Amino acid sequence: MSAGTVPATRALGDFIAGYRPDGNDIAAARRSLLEARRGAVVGATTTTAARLRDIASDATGATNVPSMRAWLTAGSILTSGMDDAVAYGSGGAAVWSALDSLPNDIDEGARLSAGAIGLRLALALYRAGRYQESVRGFSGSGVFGVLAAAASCAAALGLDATRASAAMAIAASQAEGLSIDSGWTTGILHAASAARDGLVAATLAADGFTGAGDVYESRQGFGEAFFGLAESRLDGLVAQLESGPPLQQELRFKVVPGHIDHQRPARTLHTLLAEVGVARGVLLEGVPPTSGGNRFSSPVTPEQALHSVRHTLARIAEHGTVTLDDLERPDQARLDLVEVRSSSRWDSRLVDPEFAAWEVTVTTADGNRLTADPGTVPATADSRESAAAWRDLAGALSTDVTAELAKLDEGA
Amino acid sequence: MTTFAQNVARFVVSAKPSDLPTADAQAIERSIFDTVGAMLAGVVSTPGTISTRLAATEPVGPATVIGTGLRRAPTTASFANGLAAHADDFDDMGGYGHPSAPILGGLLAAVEIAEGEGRTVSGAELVTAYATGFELGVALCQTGNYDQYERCFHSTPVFGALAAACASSRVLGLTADQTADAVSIAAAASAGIGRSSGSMVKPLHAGYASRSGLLAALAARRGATASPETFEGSGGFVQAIFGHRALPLDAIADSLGSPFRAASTIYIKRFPCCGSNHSALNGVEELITEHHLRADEVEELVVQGMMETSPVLRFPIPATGTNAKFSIQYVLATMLSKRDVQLDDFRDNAIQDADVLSVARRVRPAVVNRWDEQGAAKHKGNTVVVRTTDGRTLTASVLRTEILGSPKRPIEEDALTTKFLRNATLSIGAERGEAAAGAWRSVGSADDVSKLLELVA
Repeated sequence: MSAGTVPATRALGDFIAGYRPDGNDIAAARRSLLEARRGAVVGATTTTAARLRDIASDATGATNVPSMRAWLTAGSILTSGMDDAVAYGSGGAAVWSALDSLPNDIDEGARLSAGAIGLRLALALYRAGRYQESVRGFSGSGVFGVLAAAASCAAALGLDATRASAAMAIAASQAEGLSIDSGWTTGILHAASAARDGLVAATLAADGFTGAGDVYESRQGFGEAFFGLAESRLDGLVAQLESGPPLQQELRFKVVPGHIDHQRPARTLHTLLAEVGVARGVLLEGVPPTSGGNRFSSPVTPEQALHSVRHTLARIAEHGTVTLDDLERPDQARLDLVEVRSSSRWDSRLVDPEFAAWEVTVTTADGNRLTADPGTVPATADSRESAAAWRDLAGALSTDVTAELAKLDEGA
Repeated sequence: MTTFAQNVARFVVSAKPSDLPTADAQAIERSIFDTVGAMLAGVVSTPGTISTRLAATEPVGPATVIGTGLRRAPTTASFANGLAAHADDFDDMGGYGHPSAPILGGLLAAVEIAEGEGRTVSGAELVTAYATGFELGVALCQTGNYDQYERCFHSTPVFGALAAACASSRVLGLTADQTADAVSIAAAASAGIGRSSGSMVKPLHAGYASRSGLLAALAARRGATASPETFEGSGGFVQAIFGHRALPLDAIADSLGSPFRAASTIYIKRFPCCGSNHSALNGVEELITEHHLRADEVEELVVQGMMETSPVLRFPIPATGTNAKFSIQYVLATMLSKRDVQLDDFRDNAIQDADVLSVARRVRPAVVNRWDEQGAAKHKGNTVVVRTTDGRTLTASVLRTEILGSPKRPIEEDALTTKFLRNATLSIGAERGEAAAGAWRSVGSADDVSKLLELVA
């Protein structure tokens, strides 16, 4: 390890105790929190969320256990399909659910600061790990989600650097989640478990529970388990913590419920349909073969639909958007309208300068074709687009739900 | 074509108490008895105390947090009980690490859920449920040659969660399809970093696995799903945990219960510290018995055959009682100095004992070069060689398979009960401990396990 480099486990604790998010990070955190709360309201109406409520009731004996409340809230947010995304997967759902379930009183400013700290920490560790956890078969939402939640709760509880490191040491041993889970209840549970376990890790640490002081960087530690990087190979962490991208650049907000990989094709299709009116067919080409958004060609459950770009585009072609009702009945989608083609791993501009990463092509009723490049549309929805997306999603829901959403909008 | 999870589920659902050979049933009964005792001791340890304080902040629920007087949510109780069972590293071992702590934490909470739903769980059913989970954990871990020191995930929670899911599913009456989902949901919750050994997080692994297994069963019962190919698929359990997908899963599934493995696999611990110490501890104990060896006679004690990745090399100078359980130097020094190694030797104040520390400095573990032929026999045990101050060289070698508490050399009945009573007294007192010992020792013939839980509440 080079001289002057802080060991990773200690660096995480120092960051939690010492970092002060700037105004931009707070603004980004505020937006993420709003999306999470909208997701909790809307997600609670889904059949999957109802199932999660039953499970939580069985697990708690119908009592109000804070950590299971966090579990349920995060799970419900994910069922809405509109949870915000960061580079490693689901972003705010676990963090805000954990913070909102802490039994302590935390003012809004402290909550936003804590959430920003958690997200930045998890993203820094994700980058220091050089994305190897996915190669090994693990899901980023689960592995890093619990770290984000634990760091956020540790910050909110005002833990000093030593206890914050302990919280992270505990959370390291609760990092879980397999790639194969996407599209099943287990995929939803990545964020749910992350929220629950992050809250528990911080709470235990606050009361003196300790872990290994070098669990991230040592032999047989977190870095080696998830990234194959032990000992000094997490040196890049400190630089990422100190100088990582602003949260505003990291957070991605959605325009339609579904995987983050659906958003650009969806926006592109919206634009094309605005021009042509009705499409007889839609072709999406160039989807990366590893995209989690293309897991299911013919989905039969809401979870599968959220990972089916074919389903998302079919619904947009049918009636301009994706509703919660669409997600509940994915087998009724006009999938015949949409064809999805994956790219190969060798496709790139290095080989073919004319290569376009991906394209959306609509075929009109009279056989004309119109093509657009999803790479040219923004990757994330702005506030206005998000608000409109939530209104569309909630359109068929009860007046109670729309009223709750309206209240959140007013407070925003 | 059936999946691995489906094959496992078929085994879990169809197993009958009469399928279990007497020796395996008895081994499991001894383990359950011993583990409940471990819970009663572990609950007053530092991690156990903190866990209990957390549980105390939660509302009253239907499940027993053993040794505390608390009744809490089933998942809270399973977590707390699993953690307590492993808190002192005094719980059983074998198969996939520490088998009973994760299974029993979840299983006992499942018993109380079943009881609340009007279904009584007998001791025979408890033992059978345990056996199904144990089989899966052992079969996967051993047939797959899982090496936790290379793969870095602690085997106890990784396989323990699967075992807990099987056992809990059985008691909660899940169908085969639901059980397949439960096992897969538990697989998705595989977690626990190996470096945590020697810290409070190690027992937390057992608590976490207990809760994961129970929650997986509850979730599956309500229709939660997992990929049918959670084990064998790309991005699945086998790839993530083993690092490859070339596991003979069909053969593993076929081997479940053919034969049952409990009797030949479970070790009951004689000493409250990492199992990797026990071969050497037995050797030193032999030298003390045969030669009346005293600590002040020892010039040097060499422990031969130490694996480079042995967890008991971690803390030559332990800073806490938890560290000390993973210090071959400290435990052998304690044995030499005090003629025994007990729970109290791992309290934080005990590890400051100057006499013991002086002896510890004379203990030298000899690490085996990984290219040495002996390195391949890493699980066989350690020879201890003592050079005395008067020039003698004394040697003892107790194979790991023959340590006291092993299937080949089980702890005698009196000693097992004494261990339980000492453990139980720490939380529920001697009188209640006696009553609990009588009932739990014959758990296999109990009509209603939930009644036994009242004795250790």
